[in-house]
Amino acid sequence: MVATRDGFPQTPSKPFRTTEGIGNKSGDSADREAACLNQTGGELLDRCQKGDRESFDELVARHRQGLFRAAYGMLLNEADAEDATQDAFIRAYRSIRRCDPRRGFEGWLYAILINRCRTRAKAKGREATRSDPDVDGSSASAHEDGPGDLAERNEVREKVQKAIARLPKRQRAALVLLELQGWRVAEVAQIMGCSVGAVKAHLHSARAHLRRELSGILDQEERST
Amino acid sequence: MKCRNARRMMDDLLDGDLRESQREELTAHLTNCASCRKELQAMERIKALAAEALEADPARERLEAISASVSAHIQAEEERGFAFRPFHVRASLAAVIFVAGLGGGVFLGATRFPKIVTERIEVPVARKEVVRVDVPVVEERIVTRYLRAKTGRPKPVLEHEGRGSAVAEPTEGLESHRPTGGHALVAWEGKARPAPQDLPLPGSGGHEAMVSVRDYSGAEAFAPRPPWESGAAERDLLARLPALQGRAQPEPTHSRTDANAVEGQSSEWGLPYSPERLARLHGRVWEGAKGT
Repeated sequence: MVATRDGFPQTPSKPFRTTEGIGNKSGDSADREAACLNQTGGELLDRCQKGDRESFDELVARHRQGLFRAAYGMLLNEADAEDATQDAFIRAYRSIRRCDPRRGFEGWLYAILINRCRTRAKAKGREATRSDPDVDGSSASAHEDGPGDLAERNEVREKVQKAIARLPKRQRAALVLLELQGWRVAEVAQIMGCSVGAVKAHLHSARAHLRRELSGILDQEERST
Repeated sequence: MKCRNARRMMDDLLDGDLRESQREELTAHLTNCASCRKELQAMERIKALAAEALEADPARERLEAISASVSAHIQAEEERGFAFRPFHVRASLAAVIFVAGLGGGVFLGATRFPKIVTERIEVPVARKEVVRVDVPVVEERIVTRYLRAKTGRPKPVLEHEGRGSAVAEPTEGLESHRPTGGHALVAWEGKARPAPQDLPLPGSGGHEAMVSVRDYSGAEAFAPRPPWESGAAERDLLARLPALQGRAQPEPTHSRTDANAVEGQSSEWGLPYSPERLARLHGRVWEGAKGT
């Protein structure tokens, strides 16, 4: 998180909107990225709406990582996130002509993804198992700390994930889109199809929930410092 | 500023939605309020923990697999056809079907078809013998019409205007109709009206057959007509219909080719085509046609 001069946190930059995600696609082939760089998202969308399959493949390549990360944030399970991402792309292709270029492809795509994640979570009956969320923890990042620190970090991460998994889906979606994806509140509202006030209410409730759930961790950290 | 307002501003701050003027107010408040400072630090920590917990670093292979799967799926669905046709093509097809259905419905709704009087007549027939019935026809015309109501596609129907006996056809099929005489217009479907000598052999036992009589009185003769029809024949027919209806009913006749048959008499096997029976049937059909 970037801190400003007065010490306040700043909303992270928007990698998917400013650079179409190119900067985040560390593993993609260089030639594909070079091809992507030559075209704007609007051009790709325009060609795609005229039936150009290759342009859609380019769009998939640009957005797949961002979409996967958002899906993982929503579902907290890599296999589910992969399925939801694929599903979102397929549905986006089916109705690509309905995408309004003036409103942006990316927001439209994320709206589809959020819906797919909701449907998938519903299908898997996550609501029923909220007390014991299905968190796979497979994306636990390896840090360069010692084994003890790593275990401790993973434990904290798992606790946070479980707390997030217990959030209602709309709160979780708002949190993921704002905190993880870097969308602005107004954009999140557009993606989720609700008002700015509703998004703020979701975020406030989500933070209050996490504050309660994670108070133990915060206290522990405070004591240790 | 009260702490309650400061907390609200902190939310806006965390949302990245705090105005510059409010930011200064909040800074001033935080300088003096340790409780709010601590709360903000806690919320920032929560935000950091959440961002870290939600972070996923998918392997390149996984991302490539997503691309490949999406591409293969789209390819498969495109080969399947309609679902992946461009939206405007699907919309056009849907619009054409809708308009055609609407137009057809309006057309049929506006068309007054002649009433069809159908009477079910029980026809006891001879067991083995060949029975031929002469149907005296005063006038016959064949008009190609198009039945749209039943099948939805043009279907030629031969119409017969005649005067003669009204009998049902003693066959197993109920679709072919025999001409009734007199003033009714009788229609049957088929390439041509069967000649009397071509009547099917009666089977054994009783049969039922349908006699359909079209009553054109009050009908608009299939108006509006398809553009490929001139309509001259129908107009002529309708013009002469009152005169036809005023005509006296002819006496039906019949003949048989079996050795024992006697012209004008009921046979010993109870042939249905005795003059009395023919007259009775004829009268029933005509009454039915007049009654509608």
